[in-house]
Amino acid sequence: MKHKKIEKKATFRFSKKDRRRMKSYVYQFFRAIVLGFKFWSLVRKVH
Amino acid sequence: MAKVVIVGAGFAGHYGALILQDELKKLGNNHEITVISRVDKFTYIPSLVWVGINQMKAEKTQFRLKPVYDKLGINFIQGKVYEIWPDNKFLKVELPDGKTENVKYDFLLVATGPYLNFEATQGLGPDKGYTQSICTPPHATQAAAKYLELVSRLEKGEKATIVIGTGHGTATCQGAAFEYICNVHNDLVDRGLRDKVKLIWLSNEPRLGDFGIDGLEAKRGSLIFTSEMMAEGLFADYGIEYEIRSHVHKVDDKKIYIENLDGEFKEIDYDFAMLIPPFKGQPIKWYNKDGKDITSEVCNPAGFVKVDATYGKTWEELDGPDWPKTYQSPYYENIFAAGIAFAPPGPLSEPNKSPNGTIIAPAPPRTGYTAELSGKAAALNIVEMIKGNKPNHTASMAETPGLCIASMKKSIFGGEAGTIAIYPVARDYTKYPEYGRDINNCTAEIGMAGAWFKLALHYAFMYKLQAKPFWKLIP
Repeated sequence: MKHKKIEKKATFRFSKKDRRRMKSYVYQFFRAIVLGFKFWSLVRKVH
Repeated sequence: MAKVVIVGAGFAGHYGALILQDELKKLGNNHEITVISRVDKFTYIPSLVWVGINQMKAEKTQFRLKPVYDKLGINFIQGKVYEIWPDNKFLKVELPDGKTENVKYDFLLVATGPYLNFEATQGLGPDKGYTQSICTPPHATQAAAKYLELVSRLEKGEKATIVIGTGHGTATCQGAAFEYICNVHNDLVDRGLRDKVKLIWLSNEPRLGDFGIDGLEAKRGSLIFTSEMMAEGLFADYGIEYEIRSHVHKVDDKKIYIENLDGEFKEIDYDFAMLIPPFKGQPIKWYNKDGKDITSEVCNPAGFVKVDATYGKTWEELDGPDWPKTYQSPYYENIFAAGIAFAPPGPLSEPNKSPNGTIIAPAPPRTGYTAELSGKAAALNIVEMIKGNKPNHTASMAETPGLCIASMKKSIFGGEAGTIAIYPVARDYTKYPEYGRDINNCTAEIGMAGAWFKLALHYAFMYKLQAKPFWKLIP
């Protein structure tokens, strides 16, 4: 048996801080740079 | 001089043609590439979710193929391939005027995309059924028209139930339906109509956030954040109810009849439904040199072309090395299959059966970036074979990343999308014993940045795939 079932631990809800960050231009600009690099590094693995 | 024929002009076929042309021109010798496609346009399918709620016109997701191929010196035939004779190295095409043509090849890349199998569920689909689809531009345009009809009824004070998800126990592309339900929610919020609508997510996923890829895990500080948590948190915020682990038996004009993995039969009343159908291979018959039908040998039961995968293993036994690498047919070395057209060795998500014997098992998605990578690997392998080498370019789903931007609201200012990255797509427990994936390279987060990415990718891909200047710089 190679596949492992990852059991759900708790009912998840986004916090107020999470929701504020999702809509913050400054935070999202910073995340766009981080995620852009992450995507680029993954793409470089295959191109 | 080699003659290469590509059947299909979606992500795998069209990108494969661009790569092939680029590589073959370096070899000289006037090699010939011919692309055969049922339609004369390329469609950027990831943006059809916006067409389905009238936030983008279908034409914005398409471009005509012939001008691109004329520019690059690639032959283009608009037609439907209906027979392949691999021993005799030719295929038969039905042209739009009803005439047929035999096309010879030395190398063949099958990248046909899926046949949308609406017939698998009674009453499914926009043509002969009651539900909508966003799988093709005409379907998405029709879905938008029906959605706007509902919106005008809501504006008059009516209440409604909208059901979005998958229309069969073996359907795939849950991600597209997930994007659609989130966009519908946000559109209704913007119109001030959300309180008049009950939104229901109906899917065959074994767990919320499975998306047909067995879900995902990513690091979030010191915690492990899963796609199940992401979907659960989002649906709670959006007020979306859900029925998962479900197969749709039948749809009529008022109700959707489902069965879940507990063996319970339920009926869901609806006013508007968008349900993704299951996919099967395009109806192409394969014949050997004696005229014997060999379709069942070359293809799997669903009609997808077998390639260099390990077939016959159960989901529990299946591991990374079993996924195809070069996309070469094990029966004919000059034939490759890529994108949705290749037969996967098994599902990524856990397959299940209800107590009544109904199979509820999401098929593995292999669209978009995964299709493009398999098309590229197959094209490069054809080039290697033309040079006299063995195929050595690989793009196994157990070695390549899955990159997905799940749109939730289309807007530069105030938009929202889920940014999802997994590496690799197919879990490889040999390489990554704990999760089957490198979770340091996995991401799942929601925010405006994703909405910016989604829009940027639309324009970047539409530019790249038209082979405009410096297109090769866009990965």
